[in-house]
Amino acid sequence: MLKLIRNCLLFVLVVFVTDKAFILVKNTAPEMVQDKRLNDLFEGKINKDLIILGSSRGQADIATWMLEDSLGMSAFNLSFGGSDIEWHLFVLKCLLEKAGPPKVIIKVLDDSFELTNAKVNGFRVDLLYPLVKYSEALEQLIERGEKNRLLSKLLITHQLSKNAYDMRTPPALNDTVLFYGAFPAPAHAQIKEKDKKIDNQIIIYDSSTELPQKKRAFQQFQDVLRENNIKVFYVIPPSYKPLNHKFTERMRAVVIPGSPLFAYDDKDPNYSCDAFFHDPVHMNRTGAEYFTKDLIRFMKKSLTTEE
Amino acid sequence: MLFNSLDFAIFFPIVFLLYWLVFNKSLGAQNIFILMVSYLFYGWWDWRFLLLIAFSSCIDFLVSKRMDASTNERSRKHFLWLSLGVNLGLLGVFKYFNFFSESFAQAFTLFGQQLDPFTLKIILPVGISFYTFQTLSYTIDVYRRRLKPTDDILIFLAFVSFFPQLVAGPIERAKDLLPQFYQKREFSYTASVDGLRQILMGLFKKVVIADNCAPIVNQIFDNYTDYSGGVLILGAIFFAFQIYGDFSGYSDIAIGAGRMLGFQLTQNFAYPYFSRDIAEFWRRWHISLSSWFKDYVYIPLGGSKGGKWMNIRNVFIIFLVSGFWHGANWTFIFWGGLNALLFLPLLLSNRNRKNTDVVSGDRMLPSFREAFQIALTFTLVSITWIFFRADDLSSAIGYLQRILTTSFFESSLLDVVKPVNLLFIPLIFLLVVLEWVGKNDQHALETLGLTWPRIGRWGVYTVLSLSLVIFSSNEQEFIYFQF
Repeated sequence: MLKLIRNCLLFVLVVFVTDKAFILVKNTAPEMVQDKRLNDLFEGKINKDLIILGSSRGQADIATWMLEDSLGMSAFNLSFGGSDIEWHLFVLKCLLEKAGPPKVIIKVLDDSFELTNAKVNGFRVDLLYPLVKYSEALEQLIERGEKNRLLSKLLITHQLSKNAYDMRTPPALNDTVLFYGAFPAPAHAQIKEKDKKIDNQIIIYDSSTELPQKKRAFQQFQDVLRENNIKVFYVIPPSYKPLNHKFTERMRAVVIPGSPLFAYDDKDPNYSCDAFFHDPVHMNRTGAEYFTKDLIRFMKKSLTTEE
Repeated sequence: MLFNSLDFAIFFPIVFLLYWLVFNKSLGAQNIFILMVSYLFYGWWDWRFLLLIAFSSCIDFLVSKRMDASTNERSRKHFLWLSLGVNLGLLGVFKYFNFFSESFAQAFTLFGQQLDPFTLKIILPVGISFYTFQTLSYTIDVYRRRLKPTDDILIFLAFVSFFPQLVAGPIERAKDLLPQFYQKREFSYTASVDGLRQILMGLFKKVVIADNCAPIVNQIFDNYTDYSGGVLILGAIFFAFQIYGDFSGYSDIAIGAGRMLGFQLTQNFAYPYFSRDIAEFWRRWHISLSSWFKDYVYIPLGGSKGGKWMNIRNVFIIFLVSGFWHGANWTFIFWGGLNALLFLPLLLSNRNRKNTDVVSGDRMLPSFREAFQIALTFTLVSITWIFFRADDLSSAIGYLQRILTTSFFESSLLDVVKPVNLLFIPLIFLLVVLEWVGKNDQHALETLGLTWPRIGRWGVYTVLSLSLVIFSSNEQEFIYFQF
């Protein structure tokens, strides 16, 4: 029996030592990621006056470079495709911890999906897998049950798992990340004929389908903004289908009272123009710039009134 | 408690150490300890399951005793029917009631009548099909006077609930396993190390192979209309490896854990994908179930003694019953029937026992003929797995139709999953190589590298161990738990 225990312990030691060689992968994986905004976030390098938080619509529809020029504020887009409010809260908390509070946050609201269950939006754990070098990423993976705390302390291979070896970012609808963190879709990318069909069912909004955890996260998100005295603008960007007024009303009811909420003007014929859209829910660069001009006017007015 | 969980990784070493260091003083202590930890293991899922297994075990224990004591054949038969009624009744209620109810209602729709099926909202107790068959074999053997019933209820309860093989087999016969509870087990270093090697291999098959095939298979089968023939063929092949890795992996862990506790369990899989025909495949796949059906269904029905037609009928019966045993769905019954059809030509030409040896013997590579036979058998088996995996018969037929009617290369596997999810594919080849090298042994790592220096042997074990960590996802249940 003693021989068995001794050999087992020796084998565990061999595995343990071999595992440590994977520190090379752990340190290299973050460098291989194409979109390095999270790396910069965890390293406290994103220190800007204005931050944009949202999903792919925040990535594509807000022309961050225009905000910077027009508002005279340094701006950065921290929107992530497929992300939900819980993810935005996580990003916001990391930002505050690592770089301090920005002056202004633009929170892009995802039409219909903001508080409800949607397959397309979620907490982007996959973006954290290659970044376990950063304690924020690892801790979040542990909290979400993706990793075991004890095993993570013992084994680097457990921290990494196979996902860390995915050195390729899947091709996105947009170009590469710009200096401002934005992902504009090329101006020439236009909505396809087959995508033009408008599904009227989508414009119905039923608040009973909202998820408690998303509502909680939305509330916490606003609490954090209030505690840190951050000015917030809620934005509903255009989509090819008609504006969901019920959703807009619902959002007006749940945001901090008096917070500016900007929804695009659905009477403006340009917002149903094919040349502005890359697909039914994302604008291309031309559309994004047109919409951002409107947004800037709204923001300027709001900021001036406050002053 | 799942074998591939952290709970089991803590549970088993503690059980192992207590078993050999504290409870090894007497046979009684060893058996009571086995019973306690087996009930703990099973109750980990749901303590209410324990009531069911205890009830079923007590009935069989008492019935067998009364049956043995009786000299009246009529009353012995009554006791046998009582045992069959209780065991199959429980299985029927928990596993098949909703199926029969829904099928009955569906049949009425054919006559233009709409019936709302009455269904039960009950959960299927894990492993009920396995331990039911184990206890049935006990009472049937006692009835046939092939086995003396045990007088020790603790031993009987431990035999039924022996945790390594309780929830997904191997389905042990009382004549093989029960006597082992009457012999005091002595610690053996060699047996323990061999058990560890088999557990490692089982975990590799389950965690690395089966669990990494699963998301690809699910994506392809759930959206088969979106993919071209090539991807659908790959989906069927991945499922073949998933079901093998899942089930034989479980058996490996069960047999390895049993061996570490001093028990010898039946080999359940003997490298079935190296079979040269369907008959050989069925002698090598889920051996404990196939032999159960042979002994308790096929032979009582007359086996091959009543002429060709009776033999054919009996073969169809056991394949259909075997399919139905796997689950309450027409897909499983069809799967059983399809296997019977594939078996038929061999039976009619008296070639069903042609390949009873190990393919290629001690040769390193198969002959061209053997390789062709293996590939053909694997292809046929993979086709039958489509029915096993599909949600319903129309999906299975639709899946096969798309393989045959769509372009092969319209879509690629990269349309199904991200490249990272294909990183484990070289490890499927590693599994095939390890199994081919170890095909003459009870399990792939039994003799592999025993003559090598420790560094080489441990190198293989380290690669397998680290791949478990790297390729593990959240704990996934074993497919066969649902049966």
